[in-house]
Amino acid sequence: MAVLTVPITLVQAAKRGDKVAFMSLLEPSLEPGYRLACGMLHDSQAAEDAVQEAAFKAWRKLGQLREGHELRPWFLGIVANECRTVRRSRWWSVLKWPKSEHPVETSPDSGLSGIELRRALRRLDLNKRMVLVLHWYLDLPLDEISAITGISVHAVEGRLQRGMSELRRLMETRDEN
Amino acid sequence: MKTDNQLRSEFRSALESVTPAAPWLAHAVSKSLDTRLSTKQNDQARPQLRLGLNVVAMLVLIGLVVAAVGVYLTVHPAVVPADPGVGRVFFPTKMVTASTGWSRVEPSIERRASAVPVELWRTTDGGAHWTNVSPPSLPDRPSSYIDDAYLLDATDAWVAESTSGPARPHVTTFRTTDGGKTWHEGASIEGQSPNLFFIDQNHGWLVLPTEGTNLASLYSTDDAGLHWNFTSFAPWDGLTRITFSSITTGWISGGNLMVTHDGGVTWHVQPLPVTLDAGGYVGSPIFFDRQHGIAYCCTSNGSGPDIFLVTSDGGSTWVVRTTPAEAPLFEVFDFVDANHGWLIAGSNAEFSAVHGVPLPLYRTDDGGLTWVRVPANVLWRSPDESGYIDSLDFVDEKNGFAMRRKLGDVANPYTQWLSTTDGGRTWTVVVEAPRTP
Repeated sequence: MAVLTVPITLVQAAKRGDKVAFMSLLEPSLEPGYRLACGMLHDSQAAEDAVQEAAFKAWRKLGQLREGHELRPWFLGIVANECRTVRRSRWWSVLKWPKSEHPVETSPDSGLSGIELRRALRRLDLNKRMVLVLHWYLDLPLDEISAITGISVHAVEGRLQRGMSELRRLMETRDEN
Repeated sequence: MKTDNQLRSEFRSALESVTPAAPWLAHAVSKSLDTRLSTKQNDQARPQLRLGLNVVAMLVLIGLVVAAVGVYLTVHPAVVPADPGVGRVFFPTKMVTASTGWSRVEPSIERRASAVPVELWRTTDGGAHWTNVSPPSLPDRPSSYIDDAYLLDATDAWVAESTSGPARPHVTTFRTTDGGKTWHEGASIEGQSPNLFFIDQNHGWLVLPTEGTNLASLYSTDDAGLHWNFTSFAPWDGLTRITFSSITTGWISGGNLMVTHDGGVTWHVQPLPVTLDAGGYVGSPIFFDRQHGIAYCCTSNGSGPDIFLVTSDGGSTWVVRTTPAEAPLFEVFDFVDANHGWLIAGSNAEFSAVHGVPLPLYRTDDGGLTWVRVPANVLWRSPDESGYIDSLDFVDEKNGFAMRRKLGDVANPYTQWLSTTDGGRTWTVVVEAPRTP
């Protein structure tokens, strides 16, 4: 996936409060943001919430986007933070989301192994899960993941390797049972 | 062993299946922005507002070491009967008695496009009718929304509103002592994603996660939220809630269990009787009194079983309680005291079924030592409904509530709210929010 540089004029217009310009900038990043949130949360409704909230925060924080810098990694970083803090189904006291498997299966290929894989993925810590989703699901290059997560490319590689290894181990443990 | 490419391909397929198309997303985001921005009255004032609020933000930063002070402004919401049906999504309720309880309510997806706000609702007739008791918007916080709430009893509650101004986000707490008829505005603190907990009518804690870190600013109050005092930077992974079992002893859970014995100033790892893997997880403990508490735990070896951790000495020691052998994985659970609890659980095969299969309801009367299957008259999952149980909410040994959400039609989720008066054997639909036309 290529990283596009935001046209300066649109950024400037958006920073002056032009919502149309802001949406023009943001729209190409909404779908990747939604995929990231779905990959992290496994709940499309919660994912849409996260993207909407991230969009609003992006508007508020637009002044922090340095001119000439790419919008997408900046926005995906906001979505990622939203995913870290989303607590939709844990609003009261009972923990539910790690176990709630919302059965929205649509493809025959996404049967048993898909559910097992998602379950294993949820058991990874958030940082590794984030890097796996960004790299394997959104096909983002390591340098963009580095920009999104705020860690070095080397650290991204490390998390990717460790995440893949843990995911494989979790899947194999399940296969053996 | 699968190759990397095979695993990657499975990974993609698994996530594609939980990513339904959302062609309305850009429109929804745009409409949501329109509505939220229009409440600022004048978008052109944004740069000036940002400058002004940045100064405020700096002052609030200084407030990390200075007590935050509220104004205790009393505000009166417009209490109007609310229709819990069309366009609404119920969130897990907190019923206090068989008749009185609270629920946070969010708009459904299509209503969200017009930015219907999150609201706090209250019922006094067992959920048949609900009233919107949210704090009303004030002129100086037009873009605020309820981000968290703590519901102490039938009349006392707090909400934390995140104020989305053009500069740095702030959180303002509001308190009611009369079931939401009037609200008292407390301190406003810079931060977002608040998490509230109150141990009594005066003593509470407010967590504001620090973006991009595993720490959170922890504030405490001894005057019901009028003043918030910075207490510490607490460990925080964003996955759980803060809980206190007394004014001094509190808990933060997640990848492990942290405990404080000095009101949140210092935090230590609590030894547990189980070893947690890297992906292990301890749920937020629920304390019924100073001594007795229970916490969900998954040790994350990839195949379960899920367990409960139980304490009867104020958290100094914890013991493991298992679920029924045939149902090692939790869906939801609720305990009304240290002995009586309910659990919907299933086997690996049941959880892995593509379309879901009914899961049984279990009950314990001895704190999780033994579980008995409850022959309930409803199916908690069914193959043709794609529904799932969002919460169990028992108020005593007999009376309880359950929320069943249907998500098969992603754009039109609806909620069934059921009640039981015989400990879970017989369930009756109290409210069924219909599909949006």
